[in-house]
Amino acid sequence: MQKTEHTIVAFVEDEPGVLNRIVSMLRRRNFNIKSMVAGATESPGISRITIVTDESNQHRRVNMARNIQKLVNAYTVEDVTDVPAVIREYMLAKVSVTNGDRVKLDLLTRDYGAKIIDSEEGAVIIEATGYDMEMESFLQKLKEYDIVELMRTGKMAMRRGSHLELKAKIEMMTTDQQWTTKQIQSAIS
Amino acid sequence: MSETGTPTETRKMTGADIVWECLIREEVDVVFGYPGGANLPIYDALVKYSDKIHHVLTRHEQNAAHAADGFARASGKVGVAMATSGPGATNLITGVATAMMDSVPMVCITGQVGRESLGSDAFQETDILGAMIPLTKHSYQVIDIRKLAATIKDAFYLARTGRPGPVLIDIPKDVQNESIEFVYPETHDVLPGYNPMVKASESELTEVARLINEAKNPVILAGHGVLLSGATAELTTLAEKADIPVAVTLLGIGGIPASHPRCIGFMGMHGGYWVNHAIQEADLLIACGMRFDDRVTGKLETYSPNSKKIHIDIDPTELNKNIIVDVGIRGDLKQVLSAALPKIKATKHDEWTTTIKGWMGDSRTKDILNRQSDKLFGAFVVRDLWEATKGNALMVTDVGQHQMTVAQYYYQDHANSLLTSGGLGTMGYGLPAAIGASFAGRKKPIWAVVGDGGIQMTINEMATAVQENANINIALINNGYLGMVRQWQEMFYENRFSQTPISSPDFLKLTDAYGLKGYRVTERKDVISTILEAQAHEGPTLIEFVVEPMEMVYPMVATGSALNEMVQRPITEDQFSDMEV
Ligand SMILES: Cc1ncc(C[n+]2csc(CCOP(=O)(O)OP(=O)(O)O)c2C)c(N)n1
Repeated sequence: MQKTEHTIVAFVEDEPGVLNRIVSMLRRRNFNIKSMVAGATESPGISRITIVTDESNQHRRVNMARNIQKLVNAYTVEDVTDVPAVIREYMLAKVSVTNGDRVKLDLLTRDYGAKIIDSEEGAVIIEATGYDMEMESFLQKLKEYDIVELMRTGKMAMRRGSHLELKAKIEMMTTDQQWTTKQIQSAIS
Repeated sequence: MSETGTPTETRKMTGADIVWECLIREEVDVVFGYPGGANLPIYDALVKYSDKIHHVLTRHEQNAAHAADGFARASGKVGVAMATSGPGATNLITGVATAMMDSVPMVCITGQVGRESLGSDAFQETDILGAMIPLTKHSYQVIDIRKLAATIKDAFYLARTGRPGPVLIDIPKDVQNESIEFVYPETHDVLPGYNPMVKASESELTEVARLINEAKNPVILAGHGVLLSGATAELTTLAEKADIPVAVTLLGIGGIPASHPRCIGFMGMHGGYWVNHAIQEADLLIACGMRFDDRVTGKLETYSPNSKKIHIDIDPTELNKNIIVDVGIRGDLKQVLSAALPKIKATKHDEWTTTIKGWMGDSRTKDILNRQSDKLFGAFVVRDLWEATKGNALMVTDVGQHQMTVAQYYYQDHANSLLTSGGLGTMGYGLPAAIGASFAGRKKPIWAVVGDGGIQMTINEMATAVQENANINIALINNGYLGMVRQWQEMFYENRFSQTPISSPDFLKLTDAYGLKGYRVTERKDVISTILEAQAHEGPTLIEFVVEPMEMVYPMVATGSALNEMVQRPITEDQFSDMEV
């Protein structure tokens, strides 16, 4: 099946302005982005960015990943669309409820593994996370209620399994001062 | 003073001193720039270093960037341009964008308001880093003096390695004034994700060789990458061994000698009719260090429809960007070609060569050079310039009709000997780039061919040329129009010459006022003798060639047309001889 969404994970230097560089490039080259999530990783100084794109042309997608890799602040970039990966999104929804709704809403949230994390007069805040189909279906059901506020984070992705090559590569890149030099030498010899 | 600087022998220096110390260690001996409030400390420190580094004061920061660019293209070294904050920095932008498009190694150092004022819209503050992000290969703002030396080291490394390009270093004024122990790092500290060299895999090379060995009608497309990678020898060997015609892009001119029997000439919008035909009819294209710009492909959908395509480029983002290829190899051209050569069979493509020669014959009769005329055409001037300089000049052009004429008629046999703004097409590039090139130490006469429009964009640099006594010659092709735009108006806007007639000052008075040696030529018989006279003159000269105003550049591919749908020069009356070709 042709996927309509593709997910790219980039490891970049955690420096001021790096997001600016990525976004500037994506805009300039007209790459369409559905979401972008950036945050800290297990390695100090490295941020991890998950970018979801609905770019339908495969060459354009490869080109997009290469353009991110081309930024001097990038460590490594991979497209995780076709490899086993956990892709999750987090969402907060504020729903206004009457007393009668509350029981049904409790059941619904429990069904989807979501949680009511705040409950005040007339409104509750629901916290939910899951893969895309799950989230969409939960949202559909929630629409039967009065959604006052909704906030979705965009997706984060992580490959399944130990996938130690990546870890090893990044570790080597960050610890071995001579990494690039060695790459160049092996290219020339 | 130690060259590498070990901690035990360091001494305290200001940021401004460190800038010059670093430049000296990068073997910079000339910089182009303009002072102002925010880089005063750097310029003050220059006084101490003026025996090691020569500073050229251009008359506008854009031209400092163009001069650094011209120097870089002519010397193969990194060009350095400097400017103050705000308007100084923004003035650099056109020059930086020009260098970026043409992959020219350059480092630009701008002054910036003090750190405390950053973001406050202080006097002459501009977000030059933000503005330059999309226009540079990389950009830095140094807010910690401890990182200054390393940043400069990295900037030079980035500018010249991989696909070269301009790098910006923005330095707040208080960082220039601060002091620290100076150590120049021995190695760069660029992130390891930046990997300028990748080796082609064995399977890629095998596939390349298979395609080349099986091709009947192959064409090599040679771009700027041939020059940047120094791959002329490998490219020429490939062309000879497998008997493959080579077409060159504008910036690829000189990558293979124009007189080499396998070089068929210049491709694209104003390329040879036969060259474009060969590309369209080919069964294999081997694209070497070029990027399938729209000026060389014509309409993408109809581009070389029946060919397999190999694309070799050091920048992987160029692969499958405009043209989808069968084999895309990321790598340094010289490396890739020399690794592929042993796998390639020696062969002959006589039939193909004959076919291309046929196309050539067809179109050469329509060449302006075959026109019997007493009039002075721009193309005649360029042809005679080629003859007078024995094809051995370092050519610089501005942008317009004259630029295309140089590409067509100055048969360039030498690498890195045509400096022209290809990607951005920046009018005004010619004169400042020629000034920059005059510092490259090349033992060739320098000729800048410019139009009456373009020269008036940067004509103030005549003062710089005189101040530096730069040994440059300007061939001004004065047709009284913004010729190339007028040409489009004639072809596509029914002769409505909207804002293309352009008046000029009396150039001889101007050369007099500035102190250049000036000449004016109106007849063909005086062209060569005047060129030789100007060239013999020590210091800058300008020859104004008063040429036919309504001349067109042919052949031409109109935008939206296929590459082989070329508009040819119309043959009228008996203006053309039936010369042998
Ligand atoms: C900075 C800039 N502005 C506008 C243009 C558009 N343009 C391209 S060629 C040209 C005409 C150049 O005229 P001239 O310098 O007289 O050279 P000619 O074409 O007559 O040889 C113009 C205006 C440009 N390339 N660069």
